[in-house]
Amino acid sequence: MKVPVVRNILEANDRIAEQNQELFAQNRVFVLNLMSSPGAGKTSLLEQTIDHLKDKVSIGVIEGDIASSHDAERIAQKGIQAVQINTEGACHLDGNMIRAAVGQVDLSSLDLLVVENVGNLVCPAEFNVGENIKVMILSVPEGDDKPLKYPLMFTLCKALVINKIDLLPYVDCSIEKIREAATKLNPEVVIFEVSCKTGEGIQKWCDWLELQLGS
Amino acid sequence: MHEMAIAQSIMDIVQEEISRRGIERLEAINLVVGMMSAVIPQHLAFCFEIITKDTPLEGTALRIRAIPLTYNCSACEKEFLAEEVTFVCPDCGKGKLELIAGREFAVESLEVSD
Repeated sequence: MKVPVVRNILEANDRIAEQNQELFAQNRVFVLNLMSSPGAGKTSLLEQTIDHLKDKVSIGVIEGDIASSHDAERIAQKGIQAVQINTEGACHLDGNMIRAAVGQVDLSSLDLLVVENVGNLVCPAEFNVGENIKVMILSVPEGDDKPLKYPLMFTLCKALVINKIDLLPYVDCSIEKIREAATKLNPEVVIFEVSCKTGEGIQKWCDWLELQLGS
Repeated sequence: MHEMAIAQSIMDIVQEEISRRGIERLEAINLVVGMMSAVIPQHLAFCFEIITKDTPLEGTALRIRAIPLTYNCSACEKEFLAEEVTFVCPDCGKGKLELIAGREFAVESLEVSD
């Protein structure tokens, strides 16, 4: 005998993410879920963003890594509230982990909370944490085929930051190809070309982010 | 790699349903998994087997129905199925494609022993 059920498997996570979202809204904090492969430049983009915005915007960071507190220490050096989550092997952050970490942050003092997800182009896309927007980074040495290989994340992100453009002369990667594929997957996506190394393009990205906070 | 967390969620949902409905013996759990989901069915089945060991759900089969990607083309207004992610309508070669199925991820039904 077949008994119909029809329940979304990720419902428990989605429910917690919704509660997180309510908490963030009550505290008027804008939450950005930042995702990319390992080494694409999430922490570097954060450092640049903090340098550009910290006089105008109060920023906090939740760092997700499988192990170590290396990234939280990098961020804390900038005088920013940073909480480290170690997932002990798990490949993504979920709503529950964020709920636990949020207790260590003074939300009422923040305008922007960045959740730096575990470096991974697959799993983080499936788990909402209660964010306002998802942003992803793709660095040019990873190659221009990534939107085709990891379509879900490219489909869900509001902005795509293409990092390490200073390396373009040395790698086989076409920005045009990335733009074409990403836009086909996600016609609304806003694309930035930056180098966290040279600072190129960072101002444009920060201007856009600041606009998001106001809206 | 997040299949273990998902296996746990499935187990939680199913345990809640069987206690609520007073189901005594379960033969199988039917899932629908869209092909856009980042889940590997074999890994999921393996994790489910491990996590249900020594529980009332031990030995319950996980039957996974894969849902192909279904697109709607804005130019010719046709729907078509695709085995993998695509950007081009096979009929007209133009238009914007909208994904209308392929992101499902749910416990659809339970097979109960009569």
